[in-house]
Amino acid sequence: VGLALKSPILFTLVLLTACSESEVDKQNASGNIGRVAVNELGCGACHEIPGISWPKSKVGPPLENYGNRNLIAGVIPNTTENLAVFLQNAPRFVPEGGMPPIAMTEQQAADIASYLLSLRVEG
Amino acid sequence: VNWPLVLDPAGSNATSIANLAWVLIAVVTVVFLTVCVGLGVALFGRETWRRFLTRNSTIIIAGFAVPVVVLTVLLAYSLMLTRELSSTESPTPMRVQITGEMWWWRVDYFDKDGNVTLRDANELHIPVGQSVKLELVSADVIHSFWVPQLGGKADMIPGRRNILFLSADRPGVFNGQCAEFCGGPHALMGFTVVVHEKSEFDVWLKRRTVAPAAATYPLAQRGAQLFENLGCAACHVVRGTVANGNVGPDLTFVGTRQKLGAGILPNNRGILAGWVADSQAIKPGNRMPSYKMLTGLELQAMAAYLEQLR
Repeated sequence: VGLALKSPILFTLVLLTACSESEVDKQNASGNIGRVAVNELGCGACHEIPGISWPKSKVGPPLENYGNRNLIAGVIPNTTENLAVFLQNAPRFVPEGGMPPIAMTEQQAADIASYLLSLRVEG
Repeated sequence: VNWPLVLDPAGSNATSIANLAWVLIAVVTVVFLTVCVGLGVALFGRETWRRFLTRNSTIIIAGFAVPVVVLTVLLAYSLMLTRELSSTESPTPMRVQITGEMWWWRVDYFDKDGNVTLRDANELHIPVGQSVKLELVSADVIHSFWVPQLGGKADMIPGRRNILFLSADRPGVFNGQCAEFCGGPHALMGFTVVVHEKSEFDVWLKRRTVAPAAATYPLAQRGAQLFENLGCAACHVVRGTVANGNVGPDLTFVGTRQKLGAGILPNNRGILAGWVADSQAIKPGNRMPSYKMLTGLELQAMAAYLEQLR
């Protein structure tokens, strides 16, 4: 670090490396796939979701710490399997809710569900 | 490798531009390396080499004559290329007028006689290998039309009609973007070009001449009713219905669009509902109000109706 601090270029490189490492640490690999799927489907058009910078709309509930939630939409237990079903056909559980059925692949549903459940704080 | 779009051309005009970029990159690299060598010599070189660098003739030739020649040649090359971009060899190019609006695009297809045969928004469909003459105009402020993989960039200036030729050499979906700051949501003013095989394009065009059938199931029918009751028709056209407002994008075939919100979001029922409920949160400053008074079921109905406009 001594040498790095002496050289502005090296110091910048060290900073850059540090940034990209902590970025990676935030999400595990499978969670990251889910985040990509969230972007592909545009879930941010209604929900504020950690890791999604735009859009951040508030039509539906924000999904911060979603993994800590007990019930999906207050109706069914929040498991990966239930969530994957809910994402594709919310009106089956909340017929009068604003979230319509959304066309996506089973894989996308599973990836998004595991990403949302990975958003949690311990304790 | 994920090339920048300008270096991944999908049409002849875009290929000329990519070639220009490569020539510039090559020349600039040579110049940069030469300057680095000169700098190294000036700092660490032998006495005789350093003296060579300080001679008047060296400074006049390397510092003045060479740059003038190199830059003049590059300027001539790029001006010739720019002229090429607004001309075509095809005697009968397909004609489309695209109007820049704050913050979306109006797309009018002309037939051979210059009549508008089809009006759409935010998306251009063209057949592969066909030269397309785009007539670029503006309804309000200066915008700039740019689909990097298919051709050059041209400004849309109020009171002027700028011409840009596009052609695609392979089918696919290509993204464009407004390239001139035009107000708040400028960065969210995207565009989509769909390139079809020739036969597929004819089928597409034929389908577009007939308005979509009326909604067939109750939720979508409720959405159609809401669309009317809420006054959406004041700004939007849905052919085959009473909706004939010309202020906003034509929604006759909105369910078929690749993207929503002017090329910025995927097209699914969730986005349709979210956009109607709060487009201002998604694209702040755009001219459509957020319909925050709608119930959840009403949003579902709207989304169902809009999705089946196809």
